[in-house]
Amino acid sequence: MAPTERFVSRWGLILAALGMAIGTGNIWRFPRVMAANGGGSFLIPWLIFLFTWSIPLLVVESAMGKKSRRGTVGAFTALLGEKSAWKGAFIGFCSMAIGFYYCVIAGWCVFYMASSFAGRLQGQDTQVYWDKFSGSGILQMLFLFIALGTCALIVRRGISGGIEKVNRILIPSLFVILAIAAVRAVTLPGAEAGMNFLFTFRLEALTDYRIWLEALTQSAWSTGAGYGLLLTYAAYMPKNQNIVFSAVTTGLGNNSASLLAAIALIPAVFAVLPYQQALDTVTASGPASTGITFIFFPRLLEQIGGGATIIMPLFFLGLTFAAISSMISMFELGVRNFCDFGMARPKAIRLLFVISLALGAPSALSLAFLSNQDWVWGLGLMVSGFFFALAARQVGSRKFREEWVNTTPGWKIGRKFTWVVFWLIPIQFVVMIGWWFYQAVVVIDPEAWWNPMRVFSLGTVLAQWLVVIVLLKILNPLLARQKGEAA
Amino acid sequence: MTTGSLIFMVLILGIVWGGFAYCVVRLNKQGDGDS
Repeated sequence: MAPTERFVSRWGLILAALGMAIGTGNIWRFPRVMAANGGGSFLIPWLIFLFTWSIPLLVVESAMGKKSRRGTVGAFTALLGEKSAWKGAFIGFCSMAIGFYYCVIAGWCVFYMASSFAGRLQGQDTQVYWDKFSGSGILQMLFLFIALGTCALIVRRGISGGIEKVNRILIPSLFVILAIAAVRAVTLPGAEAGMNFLFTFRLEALTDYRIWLEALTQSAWSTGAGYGLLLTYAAYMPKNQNIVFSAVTTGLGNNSASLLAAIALIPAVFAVLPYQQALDTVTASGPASTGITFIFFPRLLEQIGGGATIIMPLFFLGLTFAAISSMISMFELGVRNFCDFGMARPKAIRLLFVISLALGAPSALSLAFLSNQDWVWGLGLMVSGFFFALAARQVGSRKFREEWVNTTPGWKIGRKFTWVVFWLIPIQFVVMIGWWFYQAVVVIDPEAWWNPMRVFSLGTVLAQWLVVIVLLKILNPLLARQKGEAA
Repeated sequence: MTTGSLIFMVLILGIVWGGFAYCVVRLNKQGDGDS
């Protein structure tokens, strides 16, 4: 059956969508990538791609979810025909594969939040502390269990009673926490250098194509566009909620949080360290690309008045909120897809909990495995975004506008918008995926780029995609057989 | 901060934060209910 439950208010869906979009990447990836790619100049392409990649895809996702009232597999089957079921399944698989290692990362956030509140990070060698934690299989599994269990319990309470209620608390709290940290950072003596770095625009930096490609990648990963997560939430969207307005609010809200995080982090680093050392620190990749979060930032905060006792617990609390709110959406994506095949919701939650625990365990026990999954399925999301653009293209411009999107009073899309979805997104996809493949061959692993057993090779990406796509294509007749009913 | 940085900051934050704030205000005006 199609779900009958809805978000009880417009705010409910928007806050859940913001919870989905604002994740740990806003806090640890955005400031690092921005600092490494021209500082303030990076913000221009980043903003452009918000309007040419992220928001258009969020609109397509919302439209498909609202129209079909199903998860990713059901939406593609109901709206595009049975032959397209595998595409919806690929999108769902991609996000669930990310969810399997993301719950490990959420566990790290919970551990560091607990440690900072207990004052256990103070006076520690943060590198040793991290090494001990990441090397302890028991601790990793325990915090994976806690993070996963928390999400399962929230999703168990349903859309309005669980997801909506929790995001009503998490998201406003997250903004308040980031705002407090940002105010403290910019009022530190010496923070001005960081603010100047953040907001200095150099026109010549925009001639570097890498800045544009990094900005496009950041925009694609950060807003959750193409993940199928907003599609899932939109299946519960109130009938009269405007799709375009919701997508624009989600995109702008996500980028607002990213900027707030950058203002909270970068000036603080520049206030404590000399310029070049500060620059090296904010652009450091850190364990599993977590940037300065778990090693440098706690060390840094000890040098700031009130840093270790107030800012650090607040920072990790905010990070935990961001991680949990995103994880909830990934969990719900899996549950919705299972329910579309006729499974009862409590059973779907139990099943997904067990699957996530089992498939999250390798990432909990091996940083290399986690990094590999992040690499493979992070790039997979670009394919997912491409599938959404193709889906809209398949139904045609007029039908897409009039029957999928412009169905409620308020903001509407026109022909120019469909041009962006039909042409610009596929072009951006080809350029972005081509660039990453080129990076994989020439820069990241030039000696063994073809080897599927390497962590960051092109071979591992193509091999894993191929296995999943072939399997899903074989299973397509089964995937298309659902009990749900399109609205 | 330099004047140039200040102007750029106001521009960027105006678009992103200002845009988001506009959406929040508009959403509040619409009311929180479904109907």
